Amino acid sequence: MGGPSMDLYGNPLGAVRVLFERSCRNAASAAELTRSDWGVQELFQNSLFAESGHLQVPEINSVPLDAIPVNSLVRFRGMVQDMFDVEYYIGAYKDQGVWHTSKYMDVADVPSGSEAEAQMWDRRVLYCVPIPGENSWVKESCAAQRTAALSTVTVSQGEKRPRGSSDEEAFEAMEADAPLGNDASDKKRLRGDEIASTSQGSPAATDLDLNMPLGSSEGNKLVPCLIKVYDGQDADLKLNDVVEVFGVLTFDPQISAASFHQNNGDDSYMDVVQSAFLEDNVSMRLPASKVPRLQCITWRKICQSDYAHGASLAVLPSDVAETRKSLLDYLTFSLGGDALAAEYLLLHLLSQVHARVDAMALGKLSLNITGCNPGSEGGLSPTAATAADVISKLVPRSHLMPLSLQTLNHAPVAPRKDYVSNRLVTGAMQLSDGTHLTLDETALQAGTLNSVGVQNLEVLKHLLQWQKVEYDFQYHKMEMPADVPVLVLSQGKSRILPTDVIVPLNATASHNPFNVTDSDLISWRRYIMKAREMDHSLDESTQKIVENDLVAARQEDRTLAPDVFHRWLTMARLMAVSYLEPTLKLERWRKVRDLEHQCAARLRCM
Amino acid sequence: MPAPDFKADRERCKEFLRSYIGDDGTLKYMKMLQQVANRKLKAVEINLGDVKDAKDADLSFVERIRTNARRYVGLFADAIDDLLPEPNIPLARDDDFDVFLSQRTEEVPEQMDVVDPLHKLPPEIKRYFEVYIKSEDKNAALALRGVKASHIGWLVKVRGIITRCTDVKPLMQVATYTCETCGYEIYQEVTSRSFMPISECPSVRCRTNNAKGMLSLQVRGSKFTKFQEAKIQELADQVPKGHIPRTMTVQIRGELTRLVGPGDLVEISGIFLPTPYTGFRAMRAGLVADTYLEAMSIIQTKKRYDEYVLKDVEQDLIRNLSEDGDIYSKLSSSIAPEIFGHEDVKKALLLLLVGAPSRQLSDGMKIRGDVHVCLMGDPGVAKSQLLKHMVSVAPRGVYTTGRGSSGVGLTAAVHRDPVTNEMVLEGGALVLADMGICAIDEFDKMEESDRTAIHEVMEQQTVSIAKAGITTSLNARTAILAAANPAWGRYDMRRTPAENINLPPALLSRFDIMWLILDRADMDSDLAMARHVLHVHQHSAPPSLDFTPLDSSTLRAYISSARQVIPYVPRDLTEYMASAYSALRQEEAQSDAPHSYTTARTLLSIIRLSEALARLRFSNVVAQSDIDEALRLMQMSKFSLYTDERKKSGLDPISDIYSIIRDEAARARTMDVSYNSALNWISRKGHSQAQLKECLEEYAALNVWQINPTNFDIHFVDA
Repeated sequence: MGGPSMDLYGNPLGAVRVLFERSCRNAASAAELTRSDWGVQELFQNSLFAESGHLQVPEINSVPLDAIPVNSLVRFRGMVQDMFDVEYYIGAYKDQGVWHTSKYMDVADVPSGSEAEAQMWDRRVLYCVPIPGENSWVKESCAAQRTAALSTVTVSQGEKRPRGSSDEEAFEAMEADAPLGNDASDKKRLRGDEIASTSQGSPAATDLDLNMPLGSSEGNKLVPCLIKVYDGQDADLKLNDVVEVFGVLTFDPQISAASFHQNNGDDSYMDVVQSAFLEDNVSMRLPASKVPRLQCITWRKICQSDYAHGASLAVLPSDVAETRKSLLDYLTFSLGGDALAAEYLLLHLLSQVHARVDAMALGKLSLNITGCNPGSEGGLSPTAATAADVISKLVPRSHLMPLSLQTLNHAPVAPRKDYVSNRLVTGAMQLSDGTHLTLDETALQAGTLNSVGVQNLEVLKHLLQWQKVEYDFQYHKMEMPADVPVLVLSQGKSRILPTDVIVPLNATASHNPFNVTDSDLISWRRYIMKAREMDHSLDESTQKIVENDLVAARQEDRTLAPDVFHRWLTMARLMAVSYLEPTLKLERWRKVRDLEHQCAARLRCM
Repeated sequence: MPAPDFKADRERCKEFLRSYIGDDGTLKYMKMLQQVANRKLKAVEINLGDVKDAKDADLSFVERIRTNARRYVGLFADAIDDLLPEPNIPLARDDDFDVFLSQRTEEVPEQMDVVDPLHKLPPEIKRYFEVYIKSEDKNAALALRGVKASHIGWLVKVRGIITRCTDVKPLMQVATYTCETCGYEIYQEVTSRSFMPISECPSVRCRTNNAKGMLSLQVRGSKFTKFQEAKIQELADQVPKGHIPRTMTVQIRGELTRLVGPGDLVEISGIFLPTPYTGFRAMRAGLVADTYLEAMSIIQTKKRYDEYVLKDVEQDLIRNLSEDGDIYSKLSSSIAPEIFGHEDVKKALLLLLVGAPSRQLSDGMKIRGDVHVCLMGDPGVAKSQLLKHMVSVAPRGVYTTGRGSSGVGLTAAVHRDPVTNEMVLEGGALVLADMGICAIDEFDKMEESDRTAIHEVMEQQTVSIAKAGITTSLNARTAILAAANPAWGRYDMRRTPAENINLPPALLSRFDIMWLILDRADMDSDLAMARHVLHVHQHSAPPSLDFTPLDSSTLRAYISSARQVIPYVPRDLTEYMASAYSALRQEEAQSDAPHSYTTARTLLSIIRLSEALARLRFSNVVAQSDIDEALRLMQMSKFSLYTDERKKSGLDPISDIYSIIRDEAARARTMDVSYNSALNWISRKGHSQAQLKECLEEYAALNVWQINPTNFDIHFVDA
């Protein structure tokens, strides 16, 4: 029996069933079934990744939810926001002497009175939100890819599914008596009804906190997902990881109807009886229309190169200098003609935490550009708006946060555990690695910070200094490592937020308008990705020179602290990778020193 | 697998209870049962370890109990019913329970003809006791994430922190009804959280008469048990990086209720059970089952040094380490190994961790044993890092800043509980760090109210509170590690130390050791720093140290076992100590501008430091070398503060060393000085070994003394 002939995408549960029954025949005891996943993962992984079949799988959030048939394979790109408790479920049961599985399902007709013959298994429930701060160009290109993939595949898929293959028949036969059936259209209708009803009438459902770190900026279009992970696949899944999950979209009208009723407080009595804790099984309280359930079959982490979409990252060396130059020109233009600030901004954009030594995060280079004019009437500073716009075009994920009293006092930015609802209440600082953050300090006006505001500033300071965010678990704090490059834009030197580099902006006369073409943007994005992936080393001879330089500099100026040295070396590294050079050349080191001299001179003038 | 024979196992339970002999040679459980019969004890706790240890123990029986604990709780209860002896003291027969019980037992004979199972008195209602099966003491507790679906029904032991708990409520165990038609009492055992009341009398008489007798629930006749629910959360150290701590529901019944509150660290052994949804919820939940832990025993764990239980491996390790001659410097360099240099500061910090025993005098006065250390220095000399590292090493450490972020601050605060409207006392950082260490950063920026309180904490080791009608005093037996910045941000060399240190003398004198860490300029340290930074960037790792630092768990284990030792100062050394102290006093009296405040507290500090040093050697007796090292540390700390003093004295180090050795030799009226004692003397004054060598060579060349070429002992040449 082979994989390709099964309709993995349309009826993944059928494929699971076939595999289960096959291993049932081989397994000696029921306990043995728990130990393996019957080859489900392997089958799907081969089909999805080896043949890049994953592009054919519809993606939640790019296709309307009610257009996807229930119990089909779907894709979800998101960030792990919370990890719920383990769910124990009946994974397999014996009905009339035959074992059935209810893995990857939410409901099944387990015959009553068969408890003794049921196998209890566990699965993890993860709460994933759409990737916070993801820029529109990423989404667009993902969508474009999928349409491209579908158009080429539809033909071949038609050929691939010849009716009459023996496997297929076996499938159809099984489905006839399968408990779930395949009357997707029927369920779809029900679901559609429910969506309509929830969106119209019930404030309870809309109030529900969906825990999106940066709020849902684009209306309520994007939905988070509840991902149920099997077989300990979540072992290396961490909080704030950006993942692509492939799984079965399940939807059960009864379950969600019940939860809907509960939201209206109909059965508060039942709750009192069942448990004193309201939070028992949080997942039950989230309406399925707002938070679809995904039975995860396999997943993978999304890395930088995924955004390049298969296009080769190899940039020719001659191009590098040119691309770097044109990007630098663009940045210079955006910063009002300040070439020095543009150099720093470029290095800053390439920075990422590449290692942690003790408490220190190596490779971060937070930047404070001073001398930005505040926006009119508490609005955004024009410089901040431009910078954020430019950055959003270049990096996959970015966010602009005006540092006004209002935003600071409004809500905690660090995530905290709410023991009443048993959830991790998100904050704006729950960001995935590599998300760029722009803080507009010009928005800050004189006024009082409340305790929330003070704590928020502490969190931001901690993030700038150590690239860590402390999550508040009430009884203890948990430090989560982060990798969020921060750009601070302020009028004077920021006294509140300690950045690695401070560059006073020296805007010159307005330049000629700069024409940016799409192909420019694409090559810049590729260049940035490539540079960020570069490895870097320091060879012996350069090391000696650098060492002497450092000692000499310190002899000259006693105030040079170790963090200045760290900054120089980080900049040297970034300078080298900005030329896509694997080792540090003296030329680049000198350039860094030169930049620092220029910058120091400017600071003195202030 | 053959089905377990519960009847036989019940006999086994009985046999075990009847025959188990405890550590004290008596029948442990029979004694317990007698107490139960006498109504002195309610909880019968059966230790699984005892079942294992019992003679002719059956290991498969133990395993059966562990994997099917709920069933065996019942079996043990049945066994106890059979075994329960008559009370051997008169009982006061006045509670409802007894009245009902006697009525019921009297009723039975006259209705012997009715054979009706529902009418039979369930054993549960007669029981005055509760049975708990406790997991073996020796077994290590699982992490919450270690509990899997395969553990369902098992007796498991977990550790965690209680995050929430409910009020204690009554839970019905046996519902009693009376029938309005036939007058019979009907019993219904309740095993789950909810039950469906019977509405129609099922008795034989009603059924045969087809009377459909109405039943009414008798609240007073029913049996209730205390019931509480709690949430337990994984401890931070059990959570893998990047994961969220997991939680679990715990159901607590009977005598175990009211033992925990939110924030408590507990070790719970209990039975891991599922609760399949019923009725409406079943439909909603589909396949999913809720699980909970039925508590069988709850132990509050507060980890302090003296409760730190060593594993065998650790014991061996410590024994090996203590035999190592250089353990003192090895341990001290393992404190914050990534922070370069500062050997003596680290030594002082090590002594702070070890501490000295606190003494209670016969007149009730207490002398603290905790060593307080204050670090002062320029910004950016890794003070905060040292502090944070110390807190992580200590089993109980609290890190706070002088401007504590919470309203409670450092000491304690009284506030009104929003729910109950009662006044509650909430301990601040110092109280929380009781029996541990409290690291206070930004000590100089402390609020005035806290600063006053800290005087009391540092000497009396209590926090007294008189607020809102609450006057009390809380224990704060904590070693304080403070870090402060100089008065003008940076240490100003042109001003005197007293001006730079912006703290009142009364507070300063309470610190055993005070250290100034300055960022001094010299080529070597610059080079070392440059190399370090380069290395970090090149290899993404700190440069490897020329030794392997002990990890903090070993450090913790060593310190905790060192803290078990209670050393004393032998009589023959008291004289030595006294003379050293008087020398210090004299020195101070002679200088025209005394910087230091040598008081009786200083003497106590010397004793404390030397006792801590003796503890490190696992020795009950303080040796002279301990006192010398204590004096040297104090001297070094003074030098860190008053570097200029030495320079002003006009002597170069070499001639200074010579005069020290000469004076000491003259005092002892000897011509021979051993190298080690010479080293001791000079290091107390802040000179290095290299300088001593230089001095020895120089003066040997002048033929002032002769040096033994093998062991460098000095022999003065007669003039």
